[in-house]
Amino acid sequence: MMHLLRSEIFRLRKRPQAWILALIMVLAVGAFYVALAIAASVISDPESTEDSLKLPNIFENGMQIATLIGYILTVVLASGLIGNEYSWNTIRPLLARARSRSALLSAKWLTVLLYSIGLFLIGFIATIAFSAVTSAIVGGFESVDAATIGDWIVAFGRTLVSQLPYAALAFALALITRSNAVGIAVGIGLGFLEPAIWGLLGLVTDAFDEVRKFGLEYPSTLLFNMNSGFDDNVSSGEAWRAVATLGVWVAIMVGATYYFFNKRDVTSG
Amino acid sequence: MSTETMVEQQTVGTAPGNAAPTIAGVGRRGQVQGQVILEASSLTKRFKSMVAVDDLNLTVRTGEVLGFLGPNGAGKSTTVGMILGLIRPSSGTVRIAGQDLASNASLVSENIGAIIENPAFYPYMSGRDNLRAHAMAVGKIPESRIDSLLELVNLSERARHKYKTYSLGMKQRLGIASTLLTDPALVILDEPTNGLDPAGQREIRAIIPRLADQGHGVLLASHMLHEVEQVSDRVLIVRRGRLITEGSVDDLLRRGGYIEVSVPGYDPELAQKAIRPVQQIEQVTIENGKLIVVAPEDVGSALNRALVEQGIFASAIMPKHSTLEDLFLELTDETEEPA
Repeated sequence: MMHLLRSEIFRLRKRPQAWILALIMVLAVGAFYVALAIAASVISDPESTEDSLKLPNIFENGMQIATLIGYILTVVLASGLIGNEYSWNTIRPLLARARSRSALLSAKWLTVLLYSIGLFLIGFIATIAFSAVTSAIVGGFESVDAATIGDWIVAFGRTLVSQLPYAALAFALALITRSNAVGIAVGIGLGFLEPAIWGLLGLVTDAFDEVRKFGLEYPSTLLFNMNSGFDDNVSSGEAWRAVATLGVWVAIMVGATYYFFNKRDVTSG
Repeated sequence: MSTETMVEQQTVGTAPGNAAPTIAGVGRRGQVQGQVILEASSLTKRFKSMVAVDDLNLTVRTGEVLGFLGPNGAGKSTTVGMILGLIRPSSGTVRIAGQDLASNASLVSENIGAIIENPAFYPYMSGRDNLRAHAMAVGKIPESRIDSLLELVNLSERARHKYKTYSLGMKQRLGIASTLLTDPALVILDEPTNGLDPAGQREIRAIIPRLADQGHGVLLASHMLHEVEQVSDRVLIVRRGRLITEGSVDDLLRRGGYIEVSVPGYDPELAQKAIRPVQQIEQVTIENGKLIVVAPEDVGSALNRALVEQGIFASAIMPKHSTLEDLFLELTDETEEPA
């Protein structure tokens, strides 16, 4: 499988899309901080805006942008990693090279995981860099201690756990439907529409308020809000339940891809 | 060089892939044919109620080009898909290098290089990087191998250009280079000249016999009859998933042969009567004033003698071979068997 993984990463490295998505991430975070810095320099009472630029507050500010952009971009890339193999017809020669279908699929899943982590890491580093530079320019630079760095690491982990299931969903759907577009549409669409769907169902019966907790959006938002400081009252038990729920969803998606990929004939595409 | 010497040289570790070159025969171009690298037995594939491939048997030896002929929709690509493990057979077995594919999927990557219909590569990468990506997927293929294959298919100069800028002929040649990356014992080419201009077709046709001469077994699936006739040692013709005939190209061509006798200035009916007593003649007809004699080629002198004895002097007695196209059309004639 390591040969296949090397090949996957080589192709990803050569793929302009991978670099363009990373660039979009950096530019989006940069644009956010530049806009904040400009705002801080022109408004009459800039204190709260200056606070937003500071390093200790990155997860309440820049990382919110990085997470939102990262969620969309990882869905796009994860879907493309398998969907394009079908649209370019490269899936057949690729399978003919692989020692087994499972090995090829494992290499692809690992590539999705590695790229997603890498992309969020780029967003994280860009956030730190732009926060440090803009806060220093505006005059409110504040360093961080070891405890804050520890908090950052935990928060970054929560970001990954809350967002990666959507990339997994996009990958799984692109594989099952053999369509890049379906993976992207459902991966992004569900993230935005799921709250509305649960809201509408909640009007029918309150039972859906409980069922909602076993969807993707509720546990993902719960973990995301822990980072942003929107919700400081989340218990450890609730957080772990959210992690477990997302873990079960990812396991289902991964399992489904192995089932379909191993079972199906590759007659075209 | 004598055939024996050639045989000795072929057998000393020169066969590609895992095939041990046990000598089994000599091909049309005098190349040595070795062990059976592919053996498909009773291969059947049903898609719901439609039978795409029906109880098909085929073998390919190293050093041999097997032409796999059939009209569009005859089941060629489905058969290739089953051989490559992309499509699971409804029944039957595929053995590669003597081992059952069903119990060892890695047999394909270890022994077969294939182009399936059109070559498919990553459009954003160069031809060279595409080969590198394939080489990495397999492992243990040196860069020098990639360079030599690009040289072989005459793509060295365009190797660093993006694949999406390649012409169809260049894409096909890159596909052939890709199939040879692992020096496979069996090369499968499914419609390799599809969409190519005549020059491109000629280039590909020139490469195919060379592959067999180098010891690769080649399965050439095609509906291009002249192509198969030119490069194949054996031909297998399928129709609606069923094998309808199989044999060496020479045998198949001989099967539809006849002798054309020109007797200008004489009554062809008299000439027809004159040669009737000649043994081995199966049939004599008159077409455009000429006698069409269905008989072995070596009865030509007997025909001449019979005519001369009756005072008829032929201006030409010519053995005529039918083409593979004639045979193919005759065998796959849709009117023979209603759908």
